[in-house]
Amino acid sequence: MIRPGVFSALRFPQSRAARNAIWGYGLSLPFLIAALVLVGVPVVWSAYLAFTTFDGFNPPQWTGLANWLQLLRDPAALSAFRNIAFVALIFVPLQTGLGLLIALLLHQGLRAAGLLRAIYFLPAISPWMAVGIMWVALFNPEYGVINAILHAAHLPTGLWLLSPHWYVFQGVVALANTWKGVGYCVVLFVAGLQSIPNELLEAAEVDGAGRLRSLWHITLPLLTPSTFMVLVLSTIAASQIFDPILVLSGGGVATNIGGLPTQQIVPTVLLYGQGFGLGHLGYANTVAWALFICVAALVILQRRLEGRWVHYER
Amino acid sequence: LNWIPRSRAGFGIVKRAAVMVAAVALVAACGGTSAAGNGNAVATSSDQVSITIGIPLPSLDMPSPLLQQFEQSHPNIHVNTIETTWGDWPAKLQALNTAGQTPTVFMYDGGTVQGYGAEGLALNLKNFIKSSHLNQSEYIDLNYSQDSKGDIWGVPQGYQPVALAYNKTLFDQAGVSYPTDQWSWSAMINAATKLHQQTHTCGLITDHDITAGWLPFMWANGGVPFNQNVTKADFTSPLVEKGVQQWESLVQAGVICNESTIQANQNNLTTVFGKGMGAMMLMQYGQVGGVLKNFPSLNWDVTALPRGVVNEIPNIANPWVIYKHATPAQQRAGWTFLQWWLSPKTQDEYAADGLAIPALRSAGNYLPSTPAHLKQAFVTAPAQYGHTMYETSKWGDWEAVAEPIFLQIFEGQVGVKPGLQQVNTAVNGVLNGSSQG
Repeated sequence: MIRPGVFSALRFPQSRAARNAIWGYGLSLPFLIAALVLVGVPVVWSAYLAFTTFDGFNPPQWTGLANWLQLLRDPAALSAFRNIAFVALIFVPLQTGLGLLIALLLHQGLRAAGLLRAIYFLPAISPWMAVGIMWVALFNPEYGVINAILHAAHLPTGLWLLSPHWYVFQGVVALANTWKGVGYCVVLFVAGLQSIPNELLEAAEVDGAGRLRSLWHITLPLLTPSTFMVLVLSTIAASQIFDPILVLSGGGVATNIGGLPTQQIVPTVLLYGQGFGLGHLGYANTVAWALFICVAALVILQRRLEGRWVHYER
Repeated sequence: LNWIPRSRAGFGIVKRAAVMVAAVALVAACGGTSAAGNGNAVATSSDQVSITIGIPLPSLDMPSPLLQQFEQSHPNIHVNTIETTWGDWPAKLQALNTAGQTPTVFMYDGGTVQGYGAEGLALNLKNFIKSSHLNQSEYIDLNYSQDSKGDIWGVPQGYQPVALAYNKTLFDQAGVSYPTDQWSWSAMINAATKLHQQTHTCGLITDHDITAGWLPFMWANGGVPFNQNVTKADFTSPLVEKGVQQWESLVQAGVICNESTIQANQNNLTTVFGKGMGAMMLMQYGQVGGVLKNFPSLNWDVTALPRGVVNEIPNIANPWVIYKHATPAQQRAGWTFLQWWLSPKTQDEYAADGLAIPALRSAGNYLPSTPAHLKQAFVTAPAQYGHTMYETSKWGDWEAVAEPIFLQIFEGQVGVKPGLQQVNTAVNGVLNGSSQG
């Protein structure tokens, strides 16, 4: 027999704020649970595995800092982090600068601006497997267009993707990645440009400011929030470079047995090869966390410097 | 937007319904993943058992008529298959295992199988083989996956020996006699050099890996990179260095196709050969079908791989493995499948598919009839001179640290001597346990 008091105890609170809070938490609970199960648990598990040896088949064995010490001694890991830092140093400013330049050109009221925007965005939606083959063909030392042009211009040709120098291979990766990602930056910058009030530019014009002065003193400062966002996103994107390396290096070695020559390797490929090629899942998680720590430090630094140069409209 | 209720009470009903739908969806999603995803689930009937077979392609034609025949002849065993490309298979297997969906039976590279045994993934088949009616003498080597302790971690799915493929048209153009199974290693190198000079193509196509790349060159020059038990590597010995130096010099001279030519053909060596860009190729048996299919008008043949000082031919078997943690019923069903695989009828039909040299010797009579000297090159000669690839439980790990450096040597990015020193240090690090690889 159910007593009447039970239902009265289950009744919702009378205040509107409390009711809204309950409904708010209630509605978001499934997604919070999903996030906890699908993100929170794997993150904690991954952090634990970074201090173990784990082959995926047997229970993890706690090894303390052994993986981290191995990371500091592993020539492949040191090369991987050096390579990705180099790629980021080229890719982040180049993509940001080029994206800004193209966005400014497209914002000049060109008739075919929409079409050009679509063209610039095309590489971003093309799969790396397809465009990677194109880049490999372009930079082929014997049959590639790049060397053919250089040869015709009596300039020295290069081995490019087959070069023994790590900075040549990674330089091509940075260029290819810039070409592929610049469309996104253009979209972000165009959106930023469209949000700049016309009155400001008109007022400057009335006051006698030329286009260059308006660009320098009005457009660029008001675009700094977009620029900041592009810089942060590009930094994160650089750290996640994976498929361009597989495609531009030929890929087979990495996926088969977990190794690439040191001039080609980056952290994501290293952790994939160690984890899924060789079954060293503990060490792979250590690499993943080391990469995360590096990227997080960079993003925090960017956030710290944000106040010095980013202008938000109040 | 007429469906939105205007009263507060009505809005409450919508909210409650939304919460319930979301909760049900979440529970359903979580439940569905675990129930539907278990490929190893055993059927409810005690007589029925489901097994999952993992297949790295193209080791079988999928969908496989052979597997259909197995199911028809064994109605109590239901077969699910999981397949992916050869290169992606280790990652797929790792992911399946992490998800608790390891296939009951699966195959992969012969070099890695002892590692699966050491990791506790593979079932020891020693007692199964001992108590079976399989006649060892009828097979090339049923104990191929036996480790130093005598445990057997798989049975051969098929063999992939290396032979010498040659383009008759280019040989005719250069006025060079076709190779024979009596050719010496130096005769092959001399012919490759002449073919390169006369036809302006590569004289020889090699891989940059162990089987059809650096190891045959080491052996031909008398170099043996490991001690007998494969517990210590010696990649810096003068004879090993001589072999790799020969390989690298021929690449630099354009006699062996360089990486730039291979890359221009999507890293596919058979495409380089099929297009007539190379006169000869160190070809594994599994590559024959690709040439026949994609280049039907190519005028070519194969012969036994010439030998040098170490009179041996690389020959690797890719074994079937039974998952150690499958249920006993699944393990028995898996062994039933392996016995069926090794039976004469199945072996004959598999031979006719042309994907691998079957384990049963007599099935060699059913191999495809083209190219003309296929059987002599891929069966007769390997039976006489075939040698394994130093398989141990650490094969996968030392291979992983060695191959990137050999690739750099092949591409001319690292000199032979410093490269081999790097290989030696890295491989010994793996073998003595100071490095994971």
